[in-house]
Amino acid sequence: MVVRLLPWQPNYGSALPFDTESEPNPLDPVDLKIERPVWAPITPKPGATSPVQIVDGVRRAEAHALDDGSDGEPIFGLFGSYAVGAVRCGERARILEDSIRVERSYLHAGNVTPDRLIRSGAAAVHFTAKRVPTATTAQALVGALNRAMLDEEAHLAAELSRDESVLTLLDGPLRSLRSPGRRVVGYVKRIQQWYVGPTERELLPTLEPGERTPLFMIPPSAGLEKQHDGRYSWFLRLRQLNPMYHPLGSVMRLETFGALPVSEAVELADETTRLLPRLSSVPGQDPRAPHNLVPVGALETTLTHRMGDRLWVQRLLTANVGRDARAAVYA
Amino acid sequence: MTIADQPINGATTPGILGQSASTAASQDAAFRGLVLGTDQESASPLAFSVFVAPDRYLQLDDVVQVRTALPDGREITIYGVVDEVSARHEGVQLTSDVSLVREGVLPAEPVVSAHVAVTRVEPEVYVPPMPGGVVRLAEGEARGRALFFDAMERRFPFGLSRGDLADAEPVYGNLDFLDGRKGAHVNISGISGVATKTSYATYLLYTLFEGRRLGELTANARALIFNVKGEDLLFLDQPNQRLDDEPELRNAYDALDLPAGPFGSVGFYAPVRRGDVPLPDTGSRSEGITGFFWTLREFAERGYLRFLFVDADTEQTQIAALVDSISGHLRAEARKSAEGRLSIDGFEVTTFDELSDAIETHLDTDPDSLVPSWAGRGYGQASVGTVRAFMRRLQGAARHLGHLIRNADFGDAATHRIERKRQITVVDLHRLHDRAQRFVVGVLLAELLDEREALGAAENAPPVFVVVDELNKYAPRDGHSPIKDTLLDIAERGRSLGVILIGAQQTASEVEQRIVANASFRIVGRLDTAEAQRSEYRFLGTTWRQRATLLTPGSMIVQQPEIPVPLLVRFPHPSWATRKSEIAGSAAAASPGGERNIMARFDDVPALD
Repeated sequence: MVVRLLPWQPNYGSALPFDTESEPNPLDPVDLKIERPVWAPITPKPGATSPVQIVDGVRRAEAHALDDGSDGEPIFGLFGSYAVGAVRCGERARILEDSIRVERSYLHAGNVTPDRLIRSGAAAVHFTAKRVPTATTAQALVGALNRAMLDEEAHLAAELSRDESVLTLLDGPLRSLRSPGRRVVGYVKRIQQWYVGPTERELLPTLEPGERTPLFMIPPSAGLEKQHDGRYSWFLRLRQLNPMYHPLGSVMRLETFGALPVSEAVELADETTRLLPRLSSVPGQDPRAPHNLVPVGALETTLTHRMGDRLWVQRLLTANVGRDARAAVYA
Repeated sequence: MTIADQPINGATTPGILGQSASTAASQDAAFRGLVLGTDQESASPLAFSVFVAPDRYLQLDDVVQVRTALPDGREITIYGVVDEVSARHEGVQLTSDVSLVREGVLPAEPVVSAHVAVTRVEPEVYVPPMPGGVVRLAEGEARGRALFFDAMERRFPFGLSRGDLADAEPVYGNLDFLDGRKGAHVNISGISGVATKTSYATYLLYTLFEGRRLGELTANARALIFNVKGEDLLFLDQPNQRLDDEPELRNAYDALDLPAGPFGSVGFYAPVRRGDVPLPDTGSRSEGITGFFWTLREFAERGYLRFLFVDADTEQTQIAALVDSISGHLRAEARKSAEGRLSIDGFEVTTFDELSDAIETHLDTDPDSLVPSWAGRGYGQASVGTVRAFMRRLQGAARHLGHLIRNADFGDAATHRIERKRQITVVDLHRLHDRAQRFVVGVLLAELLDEREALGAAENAPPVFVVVDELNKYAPRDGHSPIKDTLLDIAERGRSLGVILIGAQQTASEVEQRIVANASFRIVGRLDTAEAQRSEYRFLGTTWRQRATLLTPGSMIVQQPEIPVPLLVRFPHPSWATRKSEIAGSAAAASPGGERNIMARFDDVPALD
């Protein structure tokens, strides 16, 4: 028995599914032979890499709240912020300033609630009221905030991917994008499901950086969201880490639209296999190394920065909401 | 949209403010950046940092201004000088990230921030400039205000602000702090050879005399300067060939509002040669130089014996008491002698060796000796050891400088005396032994001080500038010596007597503190790294100390009373020759026209006395 580490900082969890024995759903058989008849590593031929743009987002729950509704029944509320944006790596890497969007919402499960405008001196922070009728717990509101961010990410990715001279990478499994370009790849940092069986999984730890598995097709009915045409997917090895880390700890799953012809999907898979090892991070550089890509780490820092200082926003909320509350109580 | 298209301050998005203030500012040619207000770089009333706009730059020594408003609507203008500029990749933390940025993997933008030391706040309300404030270059009149030039009624140019003449502007000093009205004295530190201390001292004299910055006092002001190394100062009255070869040198003098040429009125003195003819002992220049010596009578009468014993420790030994005793006897003998001559016990003394022998005769400690002892009596009697030490030094001195002290028949003493008839008096010491150098400097300074004391404290007396290099030799930090006492006297009382000391040394840490502390202007050329860390240079602050170790010849750092920060100045190459080969035209063409010109100027100058 050899114990080896997984590279992520433990407070971020791990990049692997907790149940390593999880079996593929027998109802949704994965097509393993869509690219090749044999399940063996593939080394893409060296080729030019086009510029790549990566879309990502960050979110933050600023404060939870309880609203005494008109009928006296308390309803949960959440002040939350999120920011999405993109980074582009070509000759040089730069944050696409125009792509950055910062949203602040007051999420709540009640009926009509006005927007919240929080002021301090010349600065004003606007929290748009957003109704989440299904939310019965505070955690559900956080989930809603997360979904709003993912929607915004998908929206931005669709918009940016129309420029097909650039490869567009999206953090997380592919969701339904409205009229996206053809060169969009989703990369899954946290593998929730293996999709392939135990025999095929034996190949994963043996992959070298610059190698990938053959493509396999995930049928439409499987996965988080239904897609008409299913998804092509592949695994690749990001980086050769110190032997104290388990090789599975640097494996990543990627996917693209099943509607593409196989040849185009193969091209995308090859391109990412050449590209991602270069963009991946090393432990020490990022708490989620090697999966959190270097440009994405920088993008997240920028986005977090654009959401404003956490303490400052909280201070604003405390001061403003507190003033209103006192006024209401002592009225 | 690229970063270059971004508004100046990343935090102001055009969407919120429309045409933001900083975008408008970027149209302004003098605009340089915005005041920073981060945790690391917060603004204070005395110093602040500037985010330098990506399409602009700030360099060390740039003078900037920023306005800030008080709640009551009053506007404060804050002026300052850039003393540090730093560039970094924003958000980059790891050492290897820089290569990721270059490879196009990690997005990071280079940003530049400049640190500004505040020089002036107008009106004097000491508030910090608000973060986001627009920082502009202070030019012309604003620059003058930033550096207090507007408050200087009488000023002289220290030099130019930059090496590059195109955008160089003069840096001024307040004359009131130089000529004794409010302060006096200059102290210059720096490594020999690289720091160009003597050149700078000469340049200062040039601005005062040829630039006529002393106003109505120029004609009667005088300067005394010792040539201790090489022959640098022996051609002050000759134009430099470079003036013809390099037109930009003239431009530099123009920029300083100074004429470009040689000194107009210079008297040169060199010690007489050994032998019987009173000719000056010089090197490549012989014409126009007067040989100087003192008579034995003067030596005895004025008590110059003490300047033969100028080692720093002399004062603490028994020798000092013995020297005083002998000096008293010599003075008495001189008074008994015939006019202009010195006789001891009725016999005339004609050489320094004879004087030495005569003194030795009077130091016989044998109580049965026939001659009266000058070594004191009873308790005060010098011990045999002291007498021996005295004689050993006296004979050593005789070897090195006996030829400077002659009898009356050697030559006309009046024409071979160092007199400050011309504006600049150069005394060439470079061929003299160290002990003889000290003797000459000590005697001349003491004579000068005596003379000014006799004049009394006249209001607006024309000043005499004395340039003394190697102060560490003449006024070392530890011990006492007659020259040190004289220099201290000048440093402490010179201002009221109109004697201005321009002192220089390699290492201020080795010089008597009171002499350095009394200088209104402290000037630093290139410093040794270890020396720069000494407490004597604390007035420079950290960055300036560092810069002092990098200065190139021709650059000096100047600290003056009214300006709270040191300033870097460059002074032009001398417009006078500093060696024979530099003299404009051929040797023959030390042009008659130029010569006449010089003489004409000299004729205009009334004698001091």
